[in-house]
Amino acid sequence: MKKIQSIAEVHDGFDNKAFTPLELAQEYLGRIHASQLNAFLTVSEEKAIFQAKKATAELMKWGRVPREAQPLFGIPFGLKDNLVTQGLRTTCGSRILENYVPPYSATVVERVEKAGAVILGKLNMDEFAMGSSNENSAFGPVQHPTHPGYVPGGSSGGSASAVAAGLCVAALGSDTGGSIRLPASFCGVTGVKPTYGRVSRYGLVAFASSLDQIGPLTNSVRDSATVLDVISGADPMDSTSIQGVSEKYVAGLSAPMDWSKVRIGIPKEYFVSGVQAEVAASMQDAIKWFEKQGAQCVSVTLPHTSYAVSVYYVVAVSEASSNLARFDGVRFGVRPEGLSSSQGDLLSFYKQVRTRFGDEVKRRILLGTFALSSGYSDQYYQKACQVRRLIQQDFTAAFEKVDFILGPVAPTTAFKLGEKSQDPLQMYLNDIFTIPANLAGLPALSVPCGKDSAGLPIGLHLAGRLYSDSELIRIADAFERRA
Amino acid sequence: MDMNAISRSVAKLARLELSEEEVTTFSDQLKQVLTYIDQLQSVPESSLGAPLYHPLELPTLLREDQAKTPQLDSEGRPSMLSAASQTDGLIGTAYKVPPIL
Repeated sequence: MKKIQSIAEVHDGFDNKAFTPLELAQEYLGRIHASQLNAFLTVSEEKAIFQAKKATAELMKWGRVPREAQPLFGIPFGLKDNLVTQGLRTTCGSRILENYVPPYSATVVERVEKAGAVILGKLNMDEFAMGSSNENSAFGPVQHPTHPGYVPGGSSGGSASAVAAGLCVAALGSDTGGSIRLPASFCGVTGVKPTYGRVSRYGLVAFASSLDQIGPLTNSVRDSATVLDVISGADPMDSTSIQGVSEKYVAGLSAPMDWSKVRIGIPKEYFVSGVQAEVAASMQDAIKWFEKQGAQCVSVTLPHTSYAVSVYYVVAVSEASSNLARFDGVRFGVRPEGLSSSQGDLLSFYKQVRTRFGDEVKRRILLGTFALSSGYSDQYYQKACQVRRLIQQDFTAAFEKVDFILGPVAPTTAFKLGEKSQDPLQMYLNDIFTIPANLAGLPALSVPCGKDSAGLPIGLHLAGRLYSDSELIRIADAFERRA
Repeated sequence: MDMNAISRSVAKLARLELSEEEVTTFSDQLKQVLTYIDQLQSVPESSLGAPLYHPLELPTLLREDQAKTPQLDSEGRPSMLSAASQTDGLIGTAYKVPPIL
């Protein structure tokens, strides 16, 4: 079977009886078992076959795909392993949750299953989503889908690599500082971080609660829109999910674009030395294309961009040190062998359990605990939150002049495995262009826009105003279909 | 700033046990990161206003506090308990931990 590129292609195949949902699931499970990418941590073969048989029976009964009621009907689907799945192991890429089988499912998991998705399994990731290269997974790094020896980006590296390699048709990831957009860019797929609160975080293992957002990784913007239609919307189980507002992402794609009303901001701070020449050239090509359509591309300034990484690495680690305090080995998680509830004291029990965290997680817990500690919290946490407001205000001012902000997803294309893993600061700086959207809560996405001379994909980053997800999807869809 | 001493004290607060080797490695790395982060101190005080803790600054939403019947696992216990260590983590429906005193 050739590589399927879209949800529509799957549904047409079902309607034309080219294959059944069961045959398709079996094909994808076969590919996963044969793959050397290390993209999947757990393959839910039994569940997938059960769901695919059910879909096959329904298709027989109805004669055609119920696209309206089940937009993801029979779609081979992958879930980042920080989304809890009832009865299906959820490791978060960590030894501390190596054996964790959750008693409930995340809201997004329930929604994609209700929409007909066939869950193939759980996708590899940096431990607790802390990383930009997927090298921090306790279960080994994920390989780049087309360039062996290169990283797929992180932390949703398994999701991006699996979609790009045709191991699933669509996947969910999570984005705290670029964890959907960076791997999407490195692997040449589409990745969307919705406005904060668009998608319920209930059942997402928390990293940094004021930044985390779940979103899709797919082969096209349209497929991302389909997944967003399914997963977006208020959820009583997440008090930060936005109430009331409901958007129709796919329906919005059919309206023609009025380019004369589109204003795109090019921040001068995003086009600086350190950006790979081919990445910068690719951005210029994109700008020219938008101008040719009739959009206005104007220079804007986001003066506090250079502080974004600093703000992020105080705010995110502070929230993480607090969120990860719950991993105490009592209610869930692995206890080191020989550790007993009857011996020793509780404090040494906690310390023993928490030795199972990997180095990057320990580093961030230490940094976060320090930034929140007495005597230092004013200098670090409070100051970072004050500068966070300046970064948000930069965007507010820019969005008075323009509708979208355009730039590269990352300064470079994918780098080699091991190239930056010994230098945490260099790794952190990789997220300079994606982090600001999380700090300000804005919707932002990565859409493929070319390749460098080595054939590695380049991603175009587009961000919009709060709640402008629908418009952002429309402009990205138009750009993607430019050829 | 004695970074090694800070790492040890912060590790104690975070319930992390670090080997001496880890203390040295992490201290060097954290020092490098903190030196970078110190650029925040260069933002003029006059431009700083209220801190932004959350991107949406919405009022806290509350829902009705309703008791639900817990789901039961195969052994008839509330399923939330099933993720605890099955050999040593439970006494009936209570979690078992080492003595705290």
